[in-house]
Order: sequence, then structure tokens, then C-alpha cells
Amino acid sequence: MNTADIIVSIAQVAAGGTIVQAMVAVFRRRSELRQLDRQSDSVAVDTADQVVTMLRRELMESREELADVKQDRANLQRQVGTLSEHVSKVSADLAVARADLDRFRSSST
Amino acid sequence: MGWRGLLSWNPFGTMIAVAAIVLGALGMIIGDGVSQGMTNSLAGHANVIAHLWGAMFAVGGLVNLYGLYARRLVIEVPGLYLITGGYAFYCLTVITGLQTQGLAAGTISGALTIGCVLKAHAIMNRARHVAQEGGEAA
Repeated sequence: MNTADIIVSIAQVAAGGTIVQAMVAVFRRRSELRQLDRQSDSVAVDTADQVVTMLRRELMESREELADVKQDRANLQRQVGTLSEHVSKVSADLAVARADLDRFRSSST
Repeated sequence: MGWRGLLSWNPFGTMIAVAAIVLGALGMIIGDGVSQGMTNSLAGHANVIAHLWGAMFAVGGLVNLYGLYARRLVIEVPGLYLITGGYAFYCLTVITGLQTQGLAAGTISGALTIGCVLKAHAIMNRARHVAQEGGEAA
């Protein structure tokens, strides 16, 4: 029996040992692993909860922002209304002034 | 989530299992033709052993992959142990059979063996820890 034979038998023992380990994991340690599974499930649920809370907070924030933006828009619309009133008043004044000017010119000639 | 998303969740674990499935299936179908190192080192009955090794390796890969994506350690850990055995067997036989020429394959599979052992060990330790904590809390 030389070194190669020994190493090959070690390999076979290793492969067999891992099969035994696998069986031990299934039959002896099953409850422990299940418990860990459940715990990681609860961890996943916790994480999902956190994500939902975060999303909800962001939703509230964006709703507030939307209300602000709407108010800004209403203000601006009011300003636009006032400005257009001004413009129409000014253009009416201008028309009156032009008519006066025309009348003045025609009377002077 | 697409398959890219799934793969990026655990790329190394997935690919180690996939490599085990591919290599194991090849060994199961072709036999010792899949590895010259195995043919040399297992002179005589290499073919039978290669078929058995392939079956173990492929089953381990499938079980591990399923456990990984079903998120069930009860299934993942046995698969991990079978993969460990497959890689360890391949590592030792390829280095014995091909001497220095088998060093590349031997190093890679040896590293994967150690990685799989460490991962399985870490999971088992955590499970024991959790079980103890649960026992104290109950």
C-alpha cells in the first residue's frame, strides 16, 4: 500500500463522512435547523416591515409636498389674474391716450 | 425578480451548486472519462466509483440549490455536505492521479471544499446557538 492508495482511501472516507454528516444534519439536527429557518423568516418579515414603514413615511412626505406645490400654484394663478387685470387696465389707458393724441394732432393741424 | 436578480442574491453559492450539478451529472453519465486523475488514482474500479461520485455530487448540488432558493436550511445543509464530499473526493483523487498536473483542479476544488465545510459549519453553529437561546427563553 503506497501513498496514493492511502490518499485515495482518505478521499473515500471523506466522501463517506460527508454523507454521514448530511444524514446527521437531516435526522439529528433537523429541529435546530428548522428553528433557524423560522428565525430567518421572522428576520425577513421584520425587514419587510421596516421597508413598508419607510415607504409609508415617504408617501406622507410626498403628499405634504404635493399640497405645498398645489398652494404655490394657486398663489401663482392669483398673481397671474391680478397681472392680467393690470395689463388690460393699462392697455385701455393706452387706447384712451392714443385717441387723445390723435384728436390733439388733428385739431392742431 | 428576474433570474439576474436571483443570481445576484447569492452568486457564489449558486454557482458552486450549479458546478456540482454539471460535473456530477457528467460523472454520473460518462463515468471515469470525466477525470483522468480519477482514472489513474482509482485504477481498476474507477468507472463504478466515478458513477457513484457523480450521483452523490449531482444530488448534493440539486438539493443545495433547492434549499438555497426555497430558503430552507434543513434542505440546504445536507446538500452542502454532499457537495463538500464531492469536491473533497475530486480534489484528493485528481492530485493523486495527476500529481503536479492536477494541482490547478486540485487547488480550486480543495478551496471549494474548505469553503463548503466552513459554510456548513457556520450554519450548524448558528442553529445550535439559536436552539440554545430558544431553550433558555422558553
